[in-house]
Amino acid sequence: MRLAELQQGMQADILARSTAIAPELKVRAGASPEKRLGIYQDAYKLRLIDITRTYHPILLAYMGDEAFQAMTSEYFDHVPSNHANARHVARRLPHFLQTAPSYSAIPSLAEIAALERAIEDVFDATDSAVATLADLQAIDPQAVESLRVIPIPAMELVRFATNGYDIFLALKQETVPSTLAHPGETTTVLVWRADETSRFRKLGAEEAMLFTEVAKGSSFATLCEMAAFMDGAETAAARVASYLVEWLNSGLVSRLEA
Amino acid sequence: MEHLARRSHIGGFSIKRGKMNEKPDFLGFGLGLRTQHYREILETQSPLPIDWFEIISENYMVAGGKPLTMLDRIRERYPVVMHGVSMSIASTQPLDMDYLSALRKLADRTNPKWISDHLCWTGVHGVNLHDLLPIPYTQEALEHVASRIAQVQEFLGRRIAIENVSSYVEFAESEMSEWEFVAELANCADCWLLLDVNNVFVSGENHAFNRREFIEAIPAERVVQFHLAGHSEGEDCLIDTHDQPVCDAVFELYGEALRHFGAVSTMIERDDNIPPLSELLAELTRAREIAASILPPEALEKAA
Repeated sequence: MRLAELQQGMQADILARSTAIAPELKVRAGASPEKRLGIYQDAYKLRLIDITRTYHPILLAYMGDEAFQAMTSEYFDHVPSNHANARHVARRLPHFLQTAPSYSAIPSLAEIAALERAIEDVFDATDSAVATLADLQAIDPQAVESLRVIPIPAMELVRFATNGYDIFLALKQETVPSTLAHPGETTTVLVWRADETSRFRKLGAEEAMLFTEVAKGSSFATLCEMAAFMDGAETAAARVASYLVEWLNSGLVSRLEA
Repeated sequence: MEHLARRSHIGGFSIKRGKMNEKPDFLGFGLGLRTQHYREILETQSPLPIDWFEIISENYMVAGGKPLTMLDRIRERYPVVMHGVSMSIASTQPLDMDYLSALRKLADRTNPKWISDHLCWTGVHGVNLHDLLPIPYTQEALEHVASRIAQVQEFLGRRIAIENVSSYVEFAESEMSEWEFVAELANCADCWLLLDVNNVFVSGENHAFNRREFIEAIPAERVVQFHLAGHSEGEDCLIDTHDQPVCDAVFELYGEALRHFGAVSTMIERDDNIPPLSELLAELTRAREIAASILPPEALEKAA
């Protein structure tokens, strides 16, 4: 058997827990080729499930050990790893939970998985400069209207259609979470890295809308117009300025382009 | 300088030897760098008895953040070598050039003393099984792996070190022993070798071969590093778990390896059930003491 066929056969056996390749294997007298192949088969699933457990502790707490193990086993049956770094084996888990018939009926699963994924993603996302209040103070007042706020690359927005974020927080604090509910409005959670640590916080509706616009490259003037539509027009500029100060203080802004 | 640019031709690839670095110096006794020990390594006032660190390349092939910051701080203080687990050098799927580009980028940043990976495959058809899977020891496999090592070395602009793996199965069609394959591969591919003493021990038990025969067949001039690690007992064989201290028998085999190879940069490789740094330092001290009992002091002097 040529090398390519042998590797294809062995991989198929590891993934499917079959033993078609056994006749091609040689083992010590008294040992069983099927059992020795089983070591690789066991290690495959156990290793990947263990890694997923490490990076999704809240999802694990939410589902319980048995259900989590069954879910991740099914996930890896459908979505084998294709990434060089084992840490990323579960990067498609949120999508799987969102679309797999067995799990899509509980949307909080995919939402919690997405939040945990984002926390991991920002941890080693691209480095960048971080703007400060002094950078804002240095802007020519005449140029403020066209000012663009460039967020750091280590930033993601995660949206919840359910009360999944409250469930996440309760489990993180090791308290009993509330039951799944659909409050009717979207919750947006901002995840970012500051001082080499992943952080997250819930955004109010206005801040979520404005930060989404910031990420699209909208100018300060546009932000003020949108804030004026959302709430009182006379205080819109002050509110946007206040958010901007908060973003700067949180290390969320890479640079200010006047 | 024609004599510095001798070329060997393997499977259609050519290596300009003059571009490759010479055999790396003996670094002494090192540890695998693990996140659990960052703080102690960086904050301890008195120098730790660690000569160098090995990093898992993939853990630092990232865009930014804490991993690279920590790595930069560690390498200001210690020599670093890079050790990968996903090159899949023996796979029959095409080499992953994105992976190799990221590896080269990390090497450019880190300036490692050398780069190593395993004599194994990790998957085909785009799948990564995250395991170090064995190959049959055939002429076909030898030519295939040697040509890929040549390609990688050409791309990275340096020789790489290839590590023997632990295995639980062999293949009926193998035409030579593992040690014959490894020795031939090193010569054909013109690469370095990382000899994992624990892997020789584990595979020796699992396949009932003579470990001393393995060690004596490996060309000493190719070996740049030793791994020492712990293993566990499975149902009918040993499992390479790296979650236990190095056992007495592996330390004994290490002594035999020292007698054959002389001074080789040695490290304790612990990947799971990570203990306090002090426990790993105690294992490293034992390795030092074994080396000091076998080799003359001048052989264990590190390059300035």
